Amino acid sequence: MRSGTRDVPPIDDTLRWVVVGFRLLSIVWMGALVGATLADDPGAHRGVVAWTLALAAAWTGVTVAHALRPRWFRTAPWVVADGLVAVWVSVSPFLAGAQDLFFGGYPLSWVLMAAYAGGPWPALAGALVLAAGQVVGAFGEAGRTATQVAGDIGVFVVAALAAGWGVAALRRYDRARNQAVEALEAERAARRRAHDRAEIAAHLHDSVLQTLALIQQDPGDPRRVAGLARGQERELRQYIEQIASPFTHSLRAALRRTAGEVEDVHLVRVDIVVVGDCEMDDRLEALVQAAREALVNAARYSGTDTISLFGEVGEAGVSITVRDRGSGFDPNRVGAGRGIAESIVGRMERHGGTAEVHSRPGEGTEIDLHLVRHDA
Amino acid sequence: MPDPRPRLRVFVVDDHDLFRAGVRAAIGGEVDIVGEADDVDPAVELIRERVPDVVLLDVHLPGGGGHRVAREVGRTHPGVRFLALSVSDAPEDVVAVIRAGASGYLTKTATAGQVVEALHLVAAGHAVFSPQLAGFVLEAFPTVDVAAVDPDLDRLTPRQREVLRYIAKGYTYRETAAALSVAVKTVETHVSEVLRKLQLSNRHELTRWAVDRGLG
Repeated sequence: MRSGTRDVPPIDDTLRWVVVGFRLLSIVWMGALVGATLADDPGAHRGVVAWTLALAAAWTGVTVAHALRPRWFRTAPWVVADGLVAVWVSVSPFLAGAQDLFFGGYPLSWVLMAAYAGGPWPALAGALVLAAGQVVGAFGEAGRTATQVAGDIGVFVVAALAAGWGVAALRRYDRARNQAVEALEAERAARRRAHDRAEIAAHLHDSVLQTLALIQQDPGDPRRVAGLARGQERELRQYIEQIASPFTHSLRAALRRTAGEVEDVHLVRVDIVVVGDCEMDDRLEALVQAAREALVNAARYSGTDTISLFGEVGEAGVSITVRDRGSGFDPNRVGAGRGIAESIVGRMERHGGTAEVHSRPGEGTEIDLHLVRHDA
Repeated sequence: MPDPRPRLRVFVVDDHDLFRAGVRAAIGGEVDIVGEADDVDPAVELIRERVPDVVLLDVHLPGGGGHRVAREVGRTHPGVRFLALSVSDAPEDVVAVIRAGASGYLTKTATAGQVVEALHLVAAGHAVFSPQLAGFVLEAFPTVDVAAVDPDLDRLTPRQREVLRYIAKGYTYRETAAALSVAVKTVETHVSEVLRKLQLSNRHELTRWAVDRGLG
């Protein structure tokens, strides 16, 4: 995914490797030329040629290493340093007094480097420096004719202008394309936001405004008003949670829904705290059902109107505690804790979980449910 | 029976007039409401002028959130305590307000008696952890042992986590102490220590926490 405007267009990576690839080819070509011509040229100073080849090969190594983590490729010092090597390579056959030796590929790779770094004009400057070297070097040398030198100069100049303009055009195109892509993404995001806003507005209209209208119709009945307000609050909270949740069917939402249903049916308050969240599955569905049974039991038999529900999604498992401060019961008494054994303990055990019931007469009841997660 | 404790000077910051009127009606008989404000800048100015014992602070404010009020007042008047009060739907804002220096957090469903009680606790320098806040804090700190990765990263001790879990389950400090077979004072110390960690902890947790909640 692309984010923001990049300073270096991605096409730079491709172009850089084209330049480096050309240099690798040129160094191979250089080696081949040395091998082919020096054997028939006893007058040439072999030391100069050998050292030049070694220097060019070493510098090519530097180039490749640098290309892997480019930092100065497009700076003037790098291009100048690169050029010093290229100019030396270019004039070295004259200095060695070689008759037929001519290195064109490696110097040309510098022209491409300059084109990559700065476009047509630095490349042209590089080509002219190389041309000057050829003209000066060829004076008094029998090995190169004026036509050959003129041809070499022509190749340098044409290559410099073509590569420089080509690189600049590709970069421009790439930048324009990136801007277009970003503009498109921004527009899509804006449209999505507008859509989301419209959805939210429609939802609030259908729910909250309707409820407020209902309340205004008959504000004299406090029970009805309170009931409407509570139902609406819960509905709105669920809606907000659903918008904010990364999970399609979140455990947190399921617990809130369940607690809300028990509140409505049994006219109690459930104080709910959930830490963490995860996607629902069949086993968690059973856990939520067990929690509902625990809430219903507390609502029916505890005699208190406030129940606490605490859920925690950990790395290893999910725990839920349902607690009331009501009448409690003696778990050892036969028939005590109606329905708990089957609907809660049995259900949890069938799904590989556990349920612990702590209760004493007069001290309320706490039911701890635990389920080991399979997905974690 | 009259409350033997001295009457608290309380300042209310909330952007809803109706809610402020409700607070005045509900607790005005028990404490002195010395001022009200509906946004960050007027709140900071008035609180500095009136220097209340406790500020009852809404987490959501149009001008930048309650945490800004706590932070800016704290800079000049560290003696003023803050109790955050909000509907409980935005844990990131609640934790921000606690990190900015608030000593506790109650949801707006708290009864007048609970609010007055909490105001006195906060004024006396204690932390007020509602079950909801305990839940938020449990989420805010990493659950895995991160000491090996980053020793600077503050985290809750297993004991602190256990205490918070009890509070999130709706246990009072007294009930928590009984369940853990320790003194109430010990539980209060744990809770204050958690509050302090939350306020002093470095940026790491907040970043991680924000990322976990998809806010980063």
